[in-house]
Amino acid sequence: MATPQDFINELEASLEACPKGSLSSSTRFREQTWWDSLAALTALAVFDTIYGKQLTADQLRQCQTIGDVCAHG
Amino acid sequence: MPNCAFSQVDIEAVIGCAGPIRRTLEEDAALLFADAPEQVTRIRDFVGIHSRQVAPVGVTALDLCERAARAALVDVVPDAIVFVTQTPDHPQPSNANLLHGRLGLGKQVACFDINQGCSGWVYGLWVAAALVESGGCDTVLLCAGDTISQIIHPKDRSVVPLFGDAGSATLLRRRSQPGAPLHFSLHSDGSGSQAICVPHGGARYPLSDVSHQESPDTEGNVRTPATLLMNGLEVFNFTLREEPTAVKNLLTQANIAATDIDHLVFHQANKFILTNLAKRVGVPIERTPMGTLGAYGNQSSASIPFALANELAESLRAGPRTILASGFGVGLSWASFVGKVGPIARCQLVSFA
Repeated sequence: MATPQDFINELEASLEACPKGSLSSSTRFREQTWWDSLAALTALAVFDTIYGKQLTADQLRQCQTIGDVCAHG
Repeated sequence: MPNCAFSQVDIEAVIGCAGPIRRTLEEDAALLFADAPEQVTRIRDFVGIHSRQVAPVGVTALDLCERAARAALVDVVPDAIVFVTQTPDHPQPSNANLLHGRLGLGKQVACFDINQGCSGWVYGLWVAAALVESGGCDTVLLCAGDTISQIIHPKDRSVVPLFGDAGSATLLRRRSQPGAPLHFSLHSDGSGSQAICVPHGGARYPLSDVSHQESPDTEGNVRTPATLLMNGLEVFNFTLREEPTAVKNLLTQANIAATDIDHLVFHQANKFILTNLAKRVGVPIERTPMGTLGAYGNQSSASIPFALANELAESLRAGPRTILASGFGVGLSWASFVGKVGPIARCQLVSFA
């Protein structure tokens, strides 16, 4: 069973511009300098890899924190 | 879902012809991302496109495909012309008929268009191969081309740096003896039709004043109802959900191992998607061409044949290669084929200028 930390580790590894160790469940990702439409694609791919299912574009739109994202896992 | 194999079909020519104007990522970025220069590096690394080639207004998919078709046919008069495009010259008649007229062919040639985009070359190849396999045609000319850059709003940052324009021509010929089969699978999901669309300009919403009204989205991209709308996140999810399974099922159907594929040729969408797909299918990344995408951009229906004629020409002219080609996109639709192809007598790019 994947944990939020698994998601965070994989996301940090996949986002070059995201400082390693900077993310937590409470991180408001939309306010980060590295967040853009390409980071959103990366988040969907990481979610699919870690949880083995998909986060829809609509679900992602309603998420504010990393924890919100992982709640769909 | 059509799953089938054809064993009477040879691919005799694959020719690509790109739009003549080169636009570098830096040129696009100067217009679109002046406030965010770091996007240049992000797009180059992530999307994998460093330049694209487009057609000026007045040059259409028909023009680009005509150039490719003349190089594909040489002295061959095909029994049919199948033209895949979503940017035809006119609502009617079909591009295939227009090309027939330009080539000055006789009245015995069957001509029709197929309306598909990024999956379109494989859809067209399936139809053309079926025409040949049935015995109805000895030779079929398949043209696939689009000028998507011309239906994109210049201030839509989500798509402007991605798309190039190109035409292609593929010539199929009936084999005298059955050979190694080409296996196909084709799929559709019309429930996702809104993810990629041009809402106005057809019979549902004919062009009117409203069609040209600009409106910005929440991220500041400007569109009109007559320009291309692509929901990148939904398209990405669709691709990741459907493509790896479809490709793996096709390999099972064909009894071919992923490791036996010489060239895994995906529709040239973007580097991130292609890298993800190659990994999930289990084919080494170096067997997945992406140079076409990098230098020419996403060429819609022309991208797979263009990649064959651009990056794989030498390999395909030399001898039979096991190719898996797969396109995915507007519709939503996705289609793949796998089999031994070649040697292809004529496999090259031709210049439009």
